[in-house]
Amino acid sequence: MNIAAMALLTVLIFAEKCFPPGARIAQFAALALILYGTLVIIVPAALPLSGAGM
Amino acid sequence: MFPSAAPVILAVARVQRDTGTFRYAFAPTWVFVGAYLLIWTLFGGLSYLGALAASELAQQVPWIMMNAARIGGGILVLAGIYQLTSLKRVCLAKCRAPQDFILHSWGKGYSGSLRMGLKYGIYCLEVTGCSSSFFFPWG
Repeated sequence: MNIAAMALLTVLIFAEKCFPPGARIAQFAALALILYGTLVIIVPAALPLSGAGM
Repeated sequence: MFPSAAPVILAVARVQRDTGTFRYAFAPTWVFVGAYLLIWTLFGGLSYLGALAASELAQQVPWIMMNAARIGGGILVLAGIYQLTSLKRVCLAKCRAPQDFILHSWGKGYSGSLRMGLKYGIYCLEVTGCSSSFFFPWG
């Protein structure tokens, strides 16, 4: 498991659950995930795999 | 995900103290927290087994190894789509409003606290669960 990815996810979930515009943050995260995922599918090197660091 | 449960845990503790059913309000509160953590521990264990199985499979099927990053990208897109589903929206709303959750799901006694903790754990798992699959690309 990548610690930085885990930390990022924890911050995201905390923001979704505890900050007032939580639902909006969730939508923004959705957009970011879809865009980044699509980028990785097109350019696989955009995803740092384990061992390569982040 | 434990820190983000703090508002609900505090609210449960406050209601337990104010209703005064128990001599020590922390006891049923800990049952609630324990049930919540149990759900997450089970999920963590299952995820770990899933990750082991996936890496085992990847060693046997070279195609998976060669396209690992692309598969990861696909998982990220799926996690993003899940963020927009109504399941995620409803569970996030439940997770975000401790007063509402307590009002509608309050259980009396230790068994009630246990049920409440399990229920809250599952709601929060729905909020996070699929997003957690987003570890796997990096895992």
